[in-house]
Amino acid sequence: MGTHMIQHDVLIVGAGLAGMRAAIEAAAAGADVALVAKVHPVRSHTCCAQGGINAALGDDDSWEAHMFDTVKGSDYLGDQDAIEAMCKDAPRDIRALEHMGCPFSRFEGGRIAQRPFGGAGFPRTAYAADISGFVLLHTMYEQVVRLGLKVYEEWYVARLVELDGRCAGVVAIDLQTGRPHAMSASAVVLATGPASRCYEGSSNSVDCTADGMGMAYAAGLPLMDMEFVQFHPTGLRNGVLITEGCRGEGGVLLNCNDDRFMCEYAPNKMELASRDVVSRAEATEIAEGRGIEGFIHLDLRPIGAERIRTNLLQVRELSMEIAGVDPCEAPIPIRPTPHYFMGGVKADVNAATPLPGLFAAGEVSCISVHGANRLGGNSLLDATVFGRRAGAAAVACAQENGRRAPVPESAVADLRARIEALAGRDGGERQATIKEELQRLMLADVGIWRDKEALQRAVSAVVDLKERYACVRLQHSGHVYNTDLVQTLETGNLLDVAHCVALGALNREESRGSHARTDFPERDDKSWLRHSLFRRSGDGPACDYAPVTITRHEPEARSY
Amino acid sequence: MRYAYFPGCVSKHGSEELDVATRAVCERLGIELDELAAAPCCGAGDVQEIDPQLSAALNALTLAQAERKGADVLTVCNVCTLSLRQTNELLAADGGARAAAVRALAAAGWSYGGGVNVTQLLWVLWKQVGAARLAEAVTRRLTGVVIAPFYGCQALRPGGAGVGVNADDAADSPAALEDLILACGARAVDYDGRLKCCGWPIAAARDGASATMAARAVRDAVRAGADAIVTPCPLCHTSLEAGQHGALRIVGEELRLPILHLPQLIGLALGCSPAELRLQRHLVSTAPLLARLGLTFA
Amino acid sequence: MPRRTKEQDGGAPPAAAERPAGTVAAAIEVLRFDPQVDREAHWRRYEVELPEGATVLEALMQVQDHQDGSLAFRRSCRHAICGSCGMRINGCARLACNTQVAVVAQEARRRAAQAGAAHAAQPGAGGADAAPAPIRIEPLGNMAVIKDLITDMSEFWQKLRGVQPWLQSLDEHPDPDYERLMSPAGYSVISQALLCVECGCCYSDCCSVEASADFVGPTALAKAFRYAHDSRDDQTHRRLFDLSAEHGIWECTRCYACTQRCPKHLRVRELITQLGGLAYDEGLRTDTGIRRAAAVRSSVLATGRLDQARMTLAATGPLQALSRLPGAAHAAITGKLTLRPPDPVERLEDVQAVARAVEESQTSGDQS
Repeated sequence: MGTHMIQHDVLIVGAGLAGMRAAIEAAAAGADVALVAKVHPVRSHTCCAQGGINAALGDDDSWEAHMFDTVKGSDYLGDQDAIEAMCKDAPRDIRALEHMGCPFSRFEGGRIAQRPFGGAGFPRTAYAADISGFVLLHTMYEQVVRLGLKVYEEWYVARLVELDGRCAGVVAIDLQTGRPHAMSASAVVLATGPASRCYEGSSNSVDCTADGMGMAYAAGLPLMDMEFVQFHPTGLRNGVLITEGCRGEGGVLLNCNDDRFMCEYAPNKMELASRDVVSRAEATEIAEGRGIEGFIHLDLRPIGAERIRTNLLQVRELSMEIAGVDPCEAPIPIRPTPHYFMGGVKADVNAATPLPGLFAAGEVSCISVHGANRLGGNSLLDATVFGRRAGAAAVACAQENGRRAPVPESAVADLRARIEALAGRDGGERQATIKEELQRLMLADVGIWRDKEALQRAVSAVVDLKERYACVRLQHSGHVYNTDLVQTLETGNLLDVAHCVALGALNREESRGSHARTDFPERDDKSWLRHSLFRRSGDGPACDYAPVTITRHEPEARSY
Repeated sequence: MRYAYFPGCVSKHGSEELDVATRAVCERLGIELDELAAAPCCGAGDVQEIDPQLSAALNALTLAQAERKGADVLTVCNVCTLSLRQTNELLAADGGARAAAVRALAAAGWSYGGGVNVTQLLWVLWKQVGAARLAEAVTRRLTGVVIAPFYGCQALRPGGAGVGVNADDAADSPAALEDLILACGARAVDYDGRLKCCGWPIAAARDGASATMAARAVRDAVRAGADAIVTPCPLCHTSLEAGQHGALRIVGEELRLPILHLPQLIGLALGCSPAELRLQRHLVSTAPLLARLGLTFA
Repeated sequence: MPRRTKEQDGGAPPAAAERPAGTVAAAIEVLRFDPQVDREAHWRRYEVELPEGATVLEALMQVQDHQDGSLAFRRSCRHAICGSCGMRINGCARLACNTQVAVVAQEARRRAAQAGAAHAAQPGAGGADAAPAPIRIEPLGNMAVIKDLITDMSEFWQKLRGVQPWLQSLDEHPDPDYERLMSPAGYSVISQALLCVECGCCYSDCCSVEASADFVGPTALAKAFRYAHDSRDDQTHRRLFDLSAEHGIWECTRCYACTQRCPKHLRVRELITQLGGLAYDEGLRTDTGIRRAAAVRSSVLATGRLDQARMTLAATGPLQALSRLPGAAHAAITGKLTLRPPDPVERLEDVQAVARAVEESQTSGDQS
């Protein structure tokens, strides 16, 4: 059709914190870098992160302590070389963000303020009131603007393209015109974020639909540790979160008897135990009849109205708007909420995936720094550190390999054919019907408490849904901003990812971190101190395993 | 009903018809006006921008004078109302600003305790008098006359809990002018410019944009079938009149729509003569409107 | 032109035998426009039934998912932090995700009743008709519409970029092991402006943008405030200089629509006011707008009153004033414009004593 070829040294898919951090780093090294994202950068899910970003900034703190907390938090499934790298890099990375203009909350003397967070032995979570992710995202975008970086905004990347054993680029749909384009690059960074939208009631934004994981899986790359899905302890009725920072500031959790029940589950850390511990505690209280209409109370009154109004103003507003409660006066009803994927596209400490030329950073990736459970404040850090590393590695890769053969027209034609098939079908269901069924079954059968029967049911239900998805029909076949098409493609990714989650949960016969089996309640290091891998094989994933890198900390019993 | 009447600057100089009409209407409705003859200009939003301390102090002086009279302030201008209300809000919320204003007032031998409310004629007519009572007092029903209400931004905005100091009517769907128009026996029309800006604040600085706002609002009122616009703000009045001057260039058609001050409309319905209400003192002649009522300027 | 194939017509949600407790039913009308098939926009009505407390966004998503997959709108976070879902609901720009269906349904009913009453031949002939008025949803204003509720925000983003919204400091190589210091008070100064999610609601309803398409707009000014007041940024003067240009601060018409609309409760106009004050303090006083403000101030100090004629003359200068002569002449003839100065207020000495006291406290640095 006579369009000019889109080709860059480095192409970054996803313009959240990890993606933009990678772009800034790549641009600083002089590469021709471009971002491609299905939403405008400042709309990315990063803006939802409230609580903060961890680093051993304090004089009395150390990266070693941060590392230990993270390793323990991961229930010893995290790769310790990667965790060490992240914790060592953290202080400089945070300061670099500040130098770029990020406005952190401050201590009296002017230094970046830090507060306690779950699972941490020291208050090392830097924050900006309760809009930490939001300010980080905007700071990144401001730098992208300053550098004049090219952003293909509202382009939906539908597939990765491999050529001669390397990643050659992607095919993306320009949503404004509906036209698919080949986008070629010497190095591609996947930074597409979360996947929790395969669960009902997720905290995620509507468009967190596992696209990067789905594309990588479709291209034959391994996904790792997919069964580890974090339930955040304090979500409102519609999944929107109340930050852990509330508990760091002094908020407490109460059951229907007004008891601080965490003393039964984590007598030392109480509400600031690790997220999986707290979520399980809440779920237990609710299941045993001590909830309040299916919720737990988060009481912020001990914090004091003034501090709530300064440091937790978004929390207060969300609580009032969604729960109808002013936290200065009454406790907020919350419950455990599907929130974060510890698993993702397998990547190493330099963000490299097994496919040469393809890198992954942020929530889409699994390195693994979070293992079986992520500490609050480590996700923004993960995105920052490995976003930067991915950018640097991508540039090095591009420089080393130079311009390669572009993405062939056939890849574009394939996508076009797929779209036409979707549009031309007679009969068939709406994507929303399939998606909603998937979300319900995942929450019911692959939730906080898991057992063999439910998981088997889940696996076969997902397989059924995938068959039905094969016959799904587009409700709209216009070209301009066809969100129905996008959502239909997204649902395909959710199904693939959900399949891996359910199967991984079924296979892993132990409890570790966020994966809790009622039929296998103990952690089993002998058999299961290993990562799970999932590669596409026929209609479903084939499973494999990989060892955990242990350097400093031998696994111990984990309690808070 | 007794108020400390703050006439503002324009009603005393340039739009004297407003002051005259206000007094005529208040007399007929039993509203006592005790004029604040020593009260300075509210600053018109300009002093507030470049010298906020001076603005706070001068408006505090006005409020102090009303306090001494033992009455709430009644103005006849959106900008005066907002400026005084914003000053009240500032003095209540900001201890430092309050202290500075107190010191400045003391230099002239004044003090302000903080309890004076500020309202304007529009709200007094709508709430304190009320449309029903007004309708009863009407002796000349304005039957067959179609009026386009132009509220003017600063009568309504910023307004509402957590947003701003104007809380008299729903900022996005007010009813006050419509109710008063109805009470006078006329018909009110809806049109695009009803809640928009007249452009007065940038008349000097950006006269093109200013005139565009005014001309468009007037054009839309004409298209909706209005015989006149009524507005509670003399600055809107000025802009809506002046903006018609270049209308041909701006909106491609000549416009000659009379702009009434609120008390002029009310006054006509209460039986005042056009001369009493100084209806001849308009840039855009009100003669066509008066003719519909069988009246002349006399 | 590509043809659309079988498009689902808007259908009602699955009928329930009885409405479950705690639900809200509403009619919404959306202004639809598909550039591929429509010559002009048209209203399309949908009926929705949702749990109590549902938002307009949830209503739209229900329509999109289960009734009409052709409906297009932007959305992401669902809790007013991403800024995606700005749209005009009942004529006012808001975020769909934090606007409750029940509230705007009630608002629509009230307005319909008001309109019915206002247009009645007789006053007091209320009798608003009982048909429920629909919630009306249309795209943001001051932007071209691409499709349905999706607008072209490229000018909006361009204006934001134009205020150089990034930290600028002559110290370009700070120590990598130390953060730049900022006091909690310093954070507090910018904490309100930081909350801007760049949704475009203020921009949509801005009267100045509507009248002058190149006006930089309230969003960009709020962003500019955030950097002009960031204690780590040292380019305040240059920023204010740029902001004092033709389509900057002094084109704002103070309609307060921005403050009224902001879904994050930013007092946007008040931020712009402070930028104006900062420009004045920085000595940037050449713009007609700021000269007019200074002229008002002088006039008030001299007589206690605003002298419109003199103020305009001082602000615009004799040449520009001449260009407005025809209008002015007409005004003079009808008596509206007078070059006679206003009578001073009574007890002018009080006004001047207060003003002197303010000035003294400012020069002595005794700021509050």
